[in-house]
Formats: sequence, C-alpha cells, structure tokens
Amino acid sequence: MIQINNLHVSIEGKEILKGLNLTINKGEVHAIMGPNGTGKSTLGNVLSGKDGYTISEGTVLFEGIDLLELEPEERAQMGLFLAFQYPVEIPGVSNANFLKASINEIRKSKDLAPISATDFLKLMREKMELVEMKKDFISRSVNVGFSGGEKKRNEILQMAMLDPKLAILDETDSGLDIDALRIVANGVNKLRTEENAFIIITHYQRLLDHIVPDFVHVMYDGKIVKSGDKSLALELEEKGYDWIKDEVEAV
Amino acid sequence: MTTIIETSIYSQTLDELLETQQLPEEIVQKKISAIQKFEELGLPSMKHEEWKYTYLAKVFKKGFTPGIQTNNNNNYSERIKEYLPAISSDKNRLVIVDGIFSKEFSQINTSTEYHISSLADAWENNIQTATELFTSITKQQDRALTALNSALCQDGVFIEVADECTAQIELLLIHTGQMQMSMPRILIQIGVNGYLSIAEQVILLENSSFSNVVSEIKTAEGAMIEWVKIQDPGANMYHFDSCYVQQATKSNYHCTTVSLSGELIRNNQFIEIQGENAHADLGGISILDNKEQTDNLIIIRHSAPNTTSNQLYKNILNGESTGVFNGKIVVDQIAQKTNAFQSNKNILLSDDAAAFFRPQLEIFADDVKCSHGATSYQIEDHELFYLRSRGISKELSRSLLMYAFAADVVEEIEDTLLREGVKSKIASKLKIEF
Repeated sequence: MIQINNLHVSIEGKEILKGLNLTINKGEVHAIMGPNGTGKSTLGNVLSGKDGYTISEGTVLFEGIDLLELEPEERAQMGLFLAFQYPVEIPGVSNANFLKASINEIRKSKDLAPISATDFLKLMREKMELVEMKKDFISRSVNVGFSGGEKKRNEILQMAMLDPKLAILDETDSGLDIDALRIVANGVNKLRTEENAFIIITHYQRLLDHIVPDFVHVMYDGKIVKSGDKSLALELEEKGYDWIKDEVEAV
Repeated sequence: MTTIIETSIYSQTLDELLETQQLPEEIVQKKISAIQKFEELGLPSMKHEEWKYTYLAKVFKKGFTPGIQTNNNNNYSERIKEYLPAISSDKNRLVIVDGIFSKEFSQINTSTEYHISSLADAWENNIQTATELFTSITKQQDRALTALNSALCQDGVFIEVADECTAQIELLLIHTGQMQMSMPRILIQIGVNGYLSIAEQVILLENSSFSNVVSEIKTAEGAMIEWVKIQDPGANMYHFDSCYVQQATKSNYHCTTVSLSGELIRNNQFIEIQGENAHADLGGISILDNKEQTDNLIIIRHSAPNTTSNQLYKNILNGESTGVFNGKIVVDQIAQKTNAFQSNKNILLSDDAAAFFRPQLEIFADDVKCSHGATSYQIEDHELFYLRSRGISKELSRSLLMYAFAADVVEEIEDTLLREGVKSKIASKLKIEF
C-alpha cells in the first residue's frame, strides 16, 4: 500500500528523518514507537503533506503514486488519513457540517454526486455509535469545548466516516483515560479490514494491548532501528528505550 | 468641520412634501425645525471625529436626488417578488421600497399584542405615540443625516409592542436603484417585558442608490429587542443607518449587523442606557472586497448604575476594502458598577485592505470595568492543514476558517431562526455549501 524509501526530511535546516524505510501492505497494522523527538510525528505530518518540511532525499509511493507530489487534500482524497495529536477547533462549524464538507469534497474528487442528507445522517449515527458519542455531538462545533478524550474520539469518528485506506494515528492514546482508550481502540479494531492499513504512533505499550499490531518498529534518530512483532512492544515496555540507543550507538 | 453643499434642493423637497402629505401639525413643525438644523449644520467634513474615514460630501455629490417618492414601482414588481419568498399567513413582513412603505408587498397580522403600520398611516390616523416618538430620541438633531431624515422622511414603519407581548418582523429595505435618496423612518416603542425581533435585509435591485434610514427605539422596563441587519445590497449602494435607542431598567438591546457588500455602509448606534440592570449588545461582521467600506460608529452612554454593554466587531477584508469601527463608551458619574467592553478583530486578506479601530472611553464614575482591544488574526497553517487533511480543498478550508472567525458574533444571536438565517448568508458569501 505504501512504500517509504530512504526518506530524508529536515525542518528549518535541521534534519529530522535520516533515511527512513518502511513498507506497509493492506490488512496490516504497524506500530511505531520510540522516545520523544526521534521523528515519529514528523513522519505522520510529512506523509499527510504538512507544509514547512524540506524533503531532500527519498521516495514515498502510495498505491503506486508519488505521494510527495500531492497536496494534503489530494492525499486525503486518495484515502490517507491522519488522526491529529492536537486537533484544531473550528467554532461555528458543526461536526455534521464539517464531515459533510469533507465527504463531499472527497466524493467530488471522484466525480461522485454529493451524499444525500439521509444517507449522511444514517452513516453519522452508525459511526457515532462506534465511538460512543452522544447525539448532541452532531450539532456541536468541531472540537470546541471538547475534553482531550472527546477530541481524540472525534478523530476516530472522522476516520470512521472517511473510511481511509491508510490511517495514521499520531499519539492518539496520549492523555486518554482507560475508558477513552478502550473506546478509541474498539473503534480502530472494528474498522480494521483486509483492505486497509494503520500506522499507530505511540510512546506506550498500553494502546497496543487493545489494538494488536502485526509489526512494531522502533524509531531512533530519524530512522527505524529495530522491527519486530508485538512482543517487541512488550520488551520496550519492560526495558525502556536505553538498550535500543545503546545498540544503535554501538554499531 | 463642515462642508458647504447646495441645500436648497432639500428645503424645496420639504416644501413639496408638506404640500402633498397630510401630517399632524406637530410633525410639520418638527420637520421644519429639522431642515433648518440641517442647513445650519451642513455636511460633516473628515475633520469631524465621527467622520474621520468617510467623506460624506463626496457621496452627496454623486447626484442622488431627494424628491417625493410615489409608490409606483410597477416596473419593478417582478424583481421585488424575487426577494419575497412565500411566508405563512401568521408572519409579519414589512417591505419598504425607496423609502415608502409598500402595502402591496407587506403582510401585517392584526393582533392585540402589537400595532404595526406604515408610518404615513400612523401619522395620518393621528396615532399619538407615533407623533410623540418622532424626534424624541434623536433630540436636538445635531447630526446632519439624522436632521435630513427627520425633515424629508415621508414614510417608514411604526411598531408598538404592548406590555408582556411579542412581535416578530421581517423588514426589507428595497432600493430600485434610480439614483434616488430614500429616507425611511422607523419608530419603535416596546412595552414592559415586551419582545421584538427584526430580521432586516438591505437590497438594491440595479444601478445605484443612496439610503439614509433612521430608527428611534424606546423601551419600557424589561423590554427586549433582537435585531439582525443583513446588508448585502451589492456594490453600488450607499447605505446610512442610524439607530437611536433609549433603554429603560432591565431592558435588553441586541443588534447584529452583517455587512456583506456595498460601496459604503455606515452603521450608527446611539444608545442611552438610562435604567439599572439594562444591557446593550452590539455585534458586527463585515466581509468585504474591492473598494467596499463599512463604517460602524457606536456610542453607548451609561447613565444608570449596574448596566452592561458589549461591542464585538469583526472584519474580513479583501481587495482594497476598508473596515472602520469607531466605538465610544461614556459612563456618567451616577453609573457605578458599569461593565463595558469593546473588541475589534480583523482578517486582512490583501495588503491594500485596511481596518481602523478608534476606541474612546469617557468615564466619570470610579467603580467601573471598561476595556477595549483590537487584534488582527491570520489563518494559521496548522489550522489550514487540519481541514485539508480531511480532503477539503485549500480554498474551501480557508472559507471554513473565515466562517469560524465570524462565529462568535453570530452565536450571540439568541433567536434560532435569525441566527440560522445569518449563518446561511455568511456561508453563501464565503461560497460554502452546507
């Protein structure tokens, strides 16, 4: 689904990603772990097309297409989704209106007619149940006055509504209590199919208790330095990251 | 401080008006003294502190003619009807065409709760309140445009809401665009705990027009007004709107102006808070382009203790457009515990657009809270990225964020229908389809 090859990225002259390689096939869930400041969030942002990064080397192919050439909205229209660590508040725009705009823009890019009001409401109700949102949520402004947990659940709701091929969850678990974590994880698990894929960026093992990954990668100093299966996450939880740093620096 | 213009045309118009229209003697006298006042004042120059950014004489030199208006708009009937979607029979719709109340297009429900009529009818039928109210709040007419309206208004609207009663009104100010000056007068009196809501629209059918509308609003204890003015007449309209409001104890005046187009829109609000625990809430959002200009002048005088006022004006300015917010708060010595705030926020989308904010505080009481602030706002990249990452085009993402910028002005509107109406107007101005 996506092939990242030797990706070098810098911001304001400082190199953050230093030759990252990662291939993800459909049906897979990849967890990316690692200490703070190693480039995990940068990876999510660069894949989604955020401005301000300089890509000096490397390629990213998404469904065979050069992703780095595309605008952020074109990437989303192709089926890429980023669940933000810090979602933006949009006063005066209801969740329903926002999601309708989003769905219709994506449909427009595929030459499809706008979704009917009935179909939209049906879809929204169904997906809201998935993340256990109350009914009044439909008319509330996007993320305005939401608790941290609600904002993250809203990201999962948006993901459910847009049904992406590849979803990147950027520290969606940070700041969540046990219940919110369970709701978010349930949401993701119900959306997992043989046709889509997930990248879960996280510091902690605890989300991976609920969303079992097929692969676990450790990022350090702008690269993936270790990959394994779910047992790697447990090992990291137990031993911390220092042994990885030691291993990398010993090479 | 004044500009000399040829004023004889205005006094001639008044002569003509007094010959053709049957008016109570008291009104005739008020009109004569108003034209004298107008001639004495002349037009304010840009040195006048209330006219720093708007050159009124230039507008007067464009050749708009006062003249007596006849209610003969047959040529425009079809065009006017386009602005009048069907409404249910229990609604009130007041249509003013070129300053004259149109019986043909208006719909008034008779009710014991209120009295609504054309101002000409109210005067002709010698309705005492309509005679007394006229110029009772504008007082000595020391503003030229107000004096001119007092002198030359032929018609308009008279609304009286009874104690504990409610009236809801749709008001359309339609201008056919024949270079005429229209000067309707709106007189409103609201009884104890009465409620009035007005959804106003300013419309120009073609070419260019000048309007100078003056409203006088008198509230009894506990009265509430919610007034929304949607000003989207298109490029060639010169629209001057002055509201004079007298607020009694526990009354509430809330006016929101939504200025979406117009060569020049001037909104004056002169508010006298005379009773304790009264509140005034003024909001405005302008979304302008090209050489359009809105100029909002708000003067709120707190003359009673424990009163509050709030002013929030926002501009989204593109092209060479200009947004002016001139806000003055006066707190009399007796008005202790006054809370008064003014805020101005702007998005400038082009280097040639300009926003001006002139806050003025005149405080004679010692125990008050007053503040003012102005900020310019920019759409942030990370906000734009969030929306675009949801598949929304850059252009629509920007529009949605501008819509969000306007939201707090709009969310203040308590009446759901009015609020939703304003939201949809702003959305369509920003080319958003919800």
